[in-house]
Amino acid sequence: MLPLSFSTALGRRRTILALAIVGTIPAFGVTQSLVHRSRDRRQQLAVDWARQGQRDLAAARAAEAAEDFRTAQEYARDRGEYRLQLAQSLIAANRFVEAQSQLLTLWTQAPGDGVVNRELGRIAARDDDVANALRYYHGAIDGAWPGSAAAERRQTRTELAQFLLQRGDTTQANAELIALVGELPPDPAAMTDAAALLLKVDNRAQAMALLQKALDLDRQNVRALRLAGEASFSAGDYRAARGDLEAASGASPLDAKGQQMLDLSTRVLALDPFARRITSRERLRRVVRAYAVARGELARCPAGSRESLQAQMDALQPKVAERTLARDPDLVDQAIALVTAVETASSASCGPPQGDALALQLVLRQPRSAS
Amino acid sequence: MNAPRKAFLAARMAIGDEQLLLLAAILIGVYAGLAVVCFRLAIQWLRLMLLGSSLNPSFPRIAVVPAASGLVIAAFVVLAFPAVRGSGVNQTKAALYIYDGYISFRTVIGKFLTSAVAIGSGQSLGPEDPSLQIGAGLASALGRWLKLPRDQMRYIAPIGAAAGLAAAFNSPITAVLFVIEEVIGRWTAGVLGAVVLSAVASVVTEQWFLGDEPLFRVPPYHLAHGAELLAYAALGLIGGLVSLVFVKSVAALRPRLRALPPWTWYLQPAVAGLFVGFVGLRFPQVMGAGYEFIDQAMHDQYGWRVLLALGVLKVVTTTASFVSGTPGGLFAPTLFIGAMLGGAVCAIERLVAPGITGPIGAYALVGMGTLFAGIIRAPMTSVFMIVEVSGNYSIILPVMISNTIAYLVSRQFQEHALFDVLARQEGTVLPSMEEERESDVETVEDAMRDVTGVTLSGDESLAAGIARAEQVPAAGFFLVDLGAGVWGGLSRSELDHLQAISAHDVLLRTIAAPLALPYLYPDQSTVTALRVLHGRPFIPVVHRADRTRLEGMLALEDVLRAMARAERIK
Repeated sequence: MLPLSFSTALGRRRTILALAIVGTIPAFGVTQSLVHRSRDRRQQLAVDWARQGQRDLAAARAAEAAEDFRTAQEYARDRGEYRLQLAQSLIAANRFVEAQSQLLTLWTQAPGDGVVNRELGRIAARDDDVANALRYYHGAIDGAWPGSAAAERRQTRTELAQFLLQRGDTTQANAELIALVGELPPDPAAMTDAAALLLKVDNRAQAMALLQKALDLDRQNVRALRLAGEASFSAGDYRAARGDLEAASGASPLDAKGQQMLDLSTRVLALDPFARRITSRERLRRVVRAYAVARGELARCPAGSRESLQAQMDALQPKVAERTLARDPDLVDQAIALVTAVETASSASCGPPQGDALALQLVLRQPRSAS
Repeated sequence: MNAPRKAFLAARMAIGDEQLLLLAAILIGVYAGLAVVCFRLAIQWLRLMLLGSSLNPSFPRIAVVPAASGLVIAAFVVLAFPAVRGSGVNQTKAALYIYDGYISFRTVIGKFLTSAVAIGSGQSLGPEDPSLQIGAGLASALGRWLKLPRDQMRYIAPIGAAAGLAAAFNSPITAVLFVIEEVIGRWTAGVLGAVVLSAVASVVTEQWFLGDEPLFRVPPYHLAHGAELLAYAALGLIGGLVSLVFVKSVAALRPRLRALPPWTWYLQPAVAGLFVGFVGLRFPQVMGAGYEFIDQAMHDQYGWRVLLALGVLKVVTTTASFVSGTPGGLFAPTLFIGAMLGGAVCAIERLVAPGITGPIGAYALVGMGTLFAGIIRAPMTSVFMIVEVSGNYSIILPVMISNTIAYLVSRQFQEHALFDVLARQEGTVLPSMEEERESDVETVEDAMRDVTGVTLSGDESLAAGIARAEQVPAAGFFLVDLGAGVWGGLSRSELDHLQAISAHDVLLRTIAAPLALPYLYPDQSTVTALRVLHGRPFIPVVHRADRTRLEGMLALEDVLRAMARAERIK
């Protein structure tokens, strides 16, 4: 192929090429100006529609808010925040499938986004999709958060633990809670929340330690006191339970359950013949009282199921007095054995016990050392 | 400046034709990119002005704007820009094959204005085909100013078309493939380089202004279950049938409307706009190109009934808009219909077999490729377009299955592809790339003749050779094996002549060596064979892996016979 001649065609072509190249400069300038104006206008429209969406969301018009955010997102396609708000308003409108799809798109763009992962985790948890719930919740815990990241991560881990608890997976929930304990700030409320969850997974030791820390920071933390009291009660430590529950009731009235625990703790402490650091006389007095309670409980049982025990109790009754028992330690053992037998029989066939009878049941069921 | 120095500079600064074409291709890409950016801005601006900023425009706007704009568009098209009615793809092909690369600059301006008004006012059409034509028109203008040679000028329009399409789709591979597959029809190295350069330059320019945001935000794809491929096959079948309905509707209605009295041409876009507006009152998603609603379909925002309704209504509204002569393209509506049908198939499958259903975004994406394969009938482009716009290679398996089925269904029941139908309706006979792709190529193997008895050894004496030749009186030509894969040739008359003048014990090798022949392979085309045969009575056909192994021999009349036979079969 021959080169073009310098004087004619080449000269003309070079001139046109040069003009075309130079012409790109004003063309770029004009286009840039148009694009800039268009972008500003679209950004403004996006902001306006997003504001409208927030107003609708605040007024509990989630469906309308979704449409507003959808429009905002259309005008600012590169702004993920509108898609996120769209997804959140879809969630508020109970349109979870649509929300999940929007969130997945955001997730592909930013797989480490804490907010997106947590929303996806919530949807997966709602759908009982354990694998994805774990995946996205963990993504949120390890992900990036705007603002107070530590608090968001704790909140997410708490949600995950609650989800696992709901599913009955206490082992995994316990693991999450142990991790959560390590991340807790010196905040009595947060510690108490975590302790409440730890109690649900039967991790009493860590729960009590955490409640103690919370109480060290705030002696008047009623919830911590109540939880500690309940935990002690459940563990059979009625003295500690009574102490904590009394302290809680002093600051704020207890609910029915708390009040019942306090009442039972008080009864147990007053009735327990095996308690340490009580005098011999007091112990005998408690045996006599337990015997009387058992007799009353047996009377509550239907005829036909109690005759044998009733006969045994009637036979022993004359001997069950403080003075008699003090002279014959074997009688104490006999009386206690009979009380235990009555409690076992009555709990099987006489309905749930109340008051002192229930306290006696708790006393007798407490584990004791051989000594 | 003295003369030698001037001559030296001239030689250094001279630009060859090929370099000039490549440089022009880059400039075409830049200008096409700028034009497409402005075109998109114009559509967005008009959309906001005419229909408002809401995705669900108000009743008065929907009822009035498309119809009123239709009147304006019709006036522009009939009175000022009559050439903008047709398909940009066909006009680019016409520039390539008929008009030596000429596309009027007036058509570019007309296409820009009328298409922007049409799409911005809600007519059910897309911006890709106009973008393609705008690119082709700009390229044609630059080619004319540069006074490119005729052979380059022809290809300038497809180069611009690739740039326009690449900027419109933000996907250069799709644009290059489409132009090669649908406009040029062959992979010519020189043109390919220019097409690629212009496409890349336009995408770079477009991204400079509008960013590299992909056309669709596609949720992550995975194949939920192997059996899901059956659903994709069903999507291919449905897509193929819908493509047929669409193409046949356009093919049937367009000439009928065109045949109506000319005064009706002023009203047809308005009537189409009225119809689109009527549908848009309940389903505003069918108005305009609809990319935002494709995005919504991909994100599971519609139930199967809405998806199905949108797919069907888009077929109807696009048919109405297009056959009315409103300028605008069919690419975006094709993708819209495909996305909705794909989404509907997924939503229905989810009801029937939720455990094996993947994400709806994947079905919508595959549906787009399926309808593209069925309507546009560019199978390669349809596959790579989906891979490119999704950025997901793993989706290629369902795309290939679905696209192939749609393509085959469309081909089975519709003889010509949409663009070929449109070209024929316009009275232009353009080469059909699909037909060219599928035309059988006659090979040497189909034409060659048997060599039994007509091979002589170079180590034989002349006398022995003559004796062997006499055993096959019908043969007129003999191949002489000269060893090491070299073959010579002697005709019977040459043998007779040599018998008279040469010693009988002379070896055939010595006689035939200067007459060593070129050779052919069985898989080469008869067209190649014709070139090689030039002036030679016979050519040996040898095995590709072993040139000493003779497969046959070929004469001119063998080639002509084979070609005539193929023509008769056709």
